[in-house]
Amino acid sequence: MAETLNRVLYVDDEPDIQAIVELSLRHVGGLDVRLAESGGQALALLERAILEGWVPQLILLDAVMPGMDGPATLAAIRHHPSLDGIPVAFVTAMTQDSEVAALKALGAVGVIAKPFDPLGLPGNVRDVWGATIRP
Amino acid sequence: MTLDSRPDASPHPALPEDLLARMEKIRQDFMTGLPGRLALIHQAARTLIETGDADAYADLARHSHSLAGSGATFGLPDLSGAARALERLLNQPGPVAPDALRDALQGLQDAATVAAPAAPTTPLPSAPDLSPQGPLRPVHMVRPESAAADDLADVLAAYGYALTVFPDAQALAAAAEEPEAVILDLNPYDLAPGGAHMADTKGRKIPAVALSSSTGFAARLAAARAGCDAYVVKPPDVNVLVDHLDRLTERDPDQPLRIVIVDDDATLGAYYEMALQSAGMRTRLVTNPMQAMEAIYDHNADLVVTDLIMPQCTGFELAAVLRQYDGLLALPIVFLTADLDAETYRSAVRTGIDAYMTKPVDLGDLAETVRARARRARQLKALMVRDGLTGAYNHLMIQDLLASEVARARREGTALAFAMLDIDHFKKVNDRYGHGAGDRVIKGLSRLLHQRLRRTDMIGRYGGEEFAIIMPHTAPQDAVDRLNLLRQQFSDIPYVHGDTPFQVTFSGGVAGFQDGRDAKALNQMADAALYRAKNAGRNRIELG
Repeated sequence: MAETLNRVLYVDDEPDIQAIVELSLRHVGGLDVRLAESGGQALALLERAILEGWVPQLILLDAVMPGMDGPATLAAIRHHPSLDGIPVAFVTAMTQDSEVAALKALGAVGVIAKPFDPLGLPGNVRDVWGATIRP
Repeated sequence: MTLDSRPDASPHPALPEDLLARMEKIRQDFMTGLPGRLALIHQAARTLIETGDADAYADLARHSHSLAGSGATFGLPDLSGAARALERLLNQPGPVAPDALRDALQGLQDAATVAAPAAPTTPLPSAPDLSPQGPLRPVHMVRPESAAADDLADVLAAYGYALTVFPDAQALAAAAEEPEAVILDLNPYDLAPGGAHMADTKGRKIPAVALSSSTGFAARLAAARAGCDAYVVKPPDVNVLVDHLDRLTERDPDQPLRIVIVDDDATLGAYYEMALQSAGMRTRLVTNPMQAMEAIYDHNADLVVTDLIMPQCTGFELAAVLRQYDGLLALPIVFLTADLDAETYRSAVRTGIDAYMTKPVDLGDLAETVRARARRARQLKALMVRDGLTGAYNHLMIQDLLASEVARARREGTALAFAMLDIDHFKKVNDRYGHGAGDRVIKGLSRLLHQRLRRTDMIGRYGGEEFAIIMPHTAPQDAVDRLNLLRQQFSDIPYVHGDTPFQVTFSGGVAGFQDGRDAKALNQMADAALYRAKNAGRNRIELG
């Protein structure tokens, strides 16, 4: 039985972008999306969600956030005993080759560029996720 | 699986009307907020041009970055392009030319073509009061004369560093004064492996910070190979640069690594102490392993170095005892041993040791091994979302959560309370009943908080015996009432040490969110209120 992408956590401090991503992934892409507006909130939400049996298949992080930024949140996820295995990708306006390489070097499975097309975003997200589970 | 097998891979059919309407609504919200954002950008730019303020620079960089990302998403590709141009301008090395900045801002304004009236500008927070303490600490920088000048020296002076600039490495090496750190404003690829290694008169490595406009991994690698201890991207975020300098020169009193040495031979122990102290660490020597526990808690040790063969107990036995304490499960232990036979090695691995060194111990190796492990342990601790002893959130997490809860309270107009709690006379508990009892008390308070507070409340441990609590949708007086209830319940809990029962109390300070108060202000208010509660006789909650 092939696995399909359903559960996604999206983390971004900008309410407008958060709203459009939610619409895009939930209604265009048919995904089960949860949202957090900071790294700390994401980690707290993940710990609770996992207890309830909701384990995201992919975490999407904005790279530039106040407080714990995307890379710091990724590092905390990688060092968290219950969250370590979950693939993480960045959604970011940092799209120069060197920036993308640096983000991937941190352990991200992919980098999705901002700005994005709300209708195309679910496809991009599925592609990034698909690449992590292909044998 | 194949990607074709996914159920909804086909291009999405026509979107329902209401979805399009909702997207349009979000787009309109974005457009409505745009003049306000542009006003913030203009204000930050003005401040930057007039004062060169680093906060204004950071604000400007963040706003332009975010607009570059969002503009085209909401149907304004030109706005994204103009914001990107502004961002690129800011990312160029050296100070930003006011004329170029004005041009970029005009481009942004043109691209926005917003009909809505400009929102009133919100005053930006003023720059922090930066008062240097004590004499300035010398920092040397290599910067080719061709490089653009900036006001880095002035900024660093505000943080207590005296910056001297040299045109090349020869001039740097010839300097009479010995710096506490060096900054290399050079292309990292031009540095030879080991090229950033400089030693002071005592033979210690002088920390080096690479300053470079390259953001890539390869440049960072080149800098690391050259021996740079930190890497900062140009133009430098001053906070980041100062953080690195503080850390590398161990300016913060909390920063020096704290090491406990256990060796029954006082002379040998003093010899190890000297080696670690001269590498900038704080040490405590105990010659009786029975006193190790006391010293570890008292000294708040990051790492323990222990001899293997001692008359009272072996190093392995000591390690096994330490691991029985919840608070010490992750404490790194380094063994010193004269004989490394296979059996000793197996025992070492079984005990879960972190490193061993054979005697005679090379003092340089000892300092390096200890420093690397202790620092790594600290970093790991900081990455852990929750505190190992209590399961409460760590300091960084609770600060981050507070910032987002403050933002939410402001946005939604809801109440929010923030509290800081501190166990009263905790040192006496430790002194009288031992650190195992102290750990039990801390865990006891944490358990009470987790059981009695709401699931939506967030509980953090600020280290030591101090806790922080975020209570969303709670008026300050309600928070005080609830915490007073907990305070009474906690003071009724009987603890037992041997045959001796004892009771413990805590004090607390509460701050409530109001418009204009940010997370930092709430921290300070709660802290001040806690201080008042302590001064007023403890075992009470004060409202800030």
